[in-house]
Amino acid sequence: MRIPSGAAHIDPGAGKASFHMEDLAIPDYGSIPNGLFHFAPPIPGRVSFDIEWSGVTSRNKVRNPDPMQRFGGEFASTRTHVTWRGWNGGTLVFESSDDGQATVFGQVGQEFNGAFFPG
Amino acid sequence: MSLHNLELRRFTPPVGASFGHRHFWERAISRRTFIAGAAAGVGGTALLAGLPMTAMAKTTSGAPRPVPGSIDVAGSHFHINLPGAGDQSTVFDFNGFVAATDTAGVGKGEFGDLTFDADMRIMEGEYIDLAGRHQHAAFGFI
Repeated sequence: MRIPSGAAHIDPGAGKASFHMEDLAIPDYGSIPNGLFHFAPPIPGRVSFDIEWSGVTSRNKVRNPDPMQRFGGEFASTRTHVTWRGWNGGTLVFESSDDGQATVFGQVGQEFNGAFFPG
Repeated sequence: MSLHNLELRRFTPPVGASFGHRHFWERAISRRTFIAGAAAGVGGTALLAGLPMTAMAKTTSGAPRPVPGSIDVAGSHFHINLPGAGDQSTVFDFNGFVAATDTAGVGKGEFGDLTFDADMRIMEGEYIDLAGRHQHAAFGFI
């Protein structure tokens, strides 16, 4: 989805980024299969979140000419932290904890793909 | 949403369901899921949100082209790559900044403790839209 430019800040050189949105209206599909295939209609939901990328652990350059990828760039692997709240019909249905989070994958980078991929 | 939690090989669509070549972009450009219970797979989801892109792509000037993608589920192809597996942008013909995360953790739900696994991404920069025009914008995969 297109987002306001002020909602996201990405600084590949510093290996930092943030993404913040407040009270964003979204349809809630309830489960992953239903989210993918829309067997049943969603119900209205709202979310607010803060996502932070920081703490570079490594850097690498990528050039992938595979026709199903065609992308390249310079990337920093980072740690991440998520603050997330979600509401269903006015009821708070989830609030994340700051403790016990694990970054499965975190990346900040500058990239080019498709028509911007050289060659 | 985090597709790491979807047990792809175990998911079978309902008999008679018609799955064509579906663009993840069209169906779920913006998704977020919280999974109830550790390693719950597809079960016990508390909240999964999405913003279908079909209407936006048809009516909004500057609609971007989705990446080719590498995910196939139940005969449907989705135009996105898993976290850490290839291009993390969901926008193709794109030149700019990207940040992506797959973060796991815990939290409080309406009826008790829950775990979550969040795949969220942002992209900001230049892109060529479906009409071939150069554009500049920020996008979020939620």
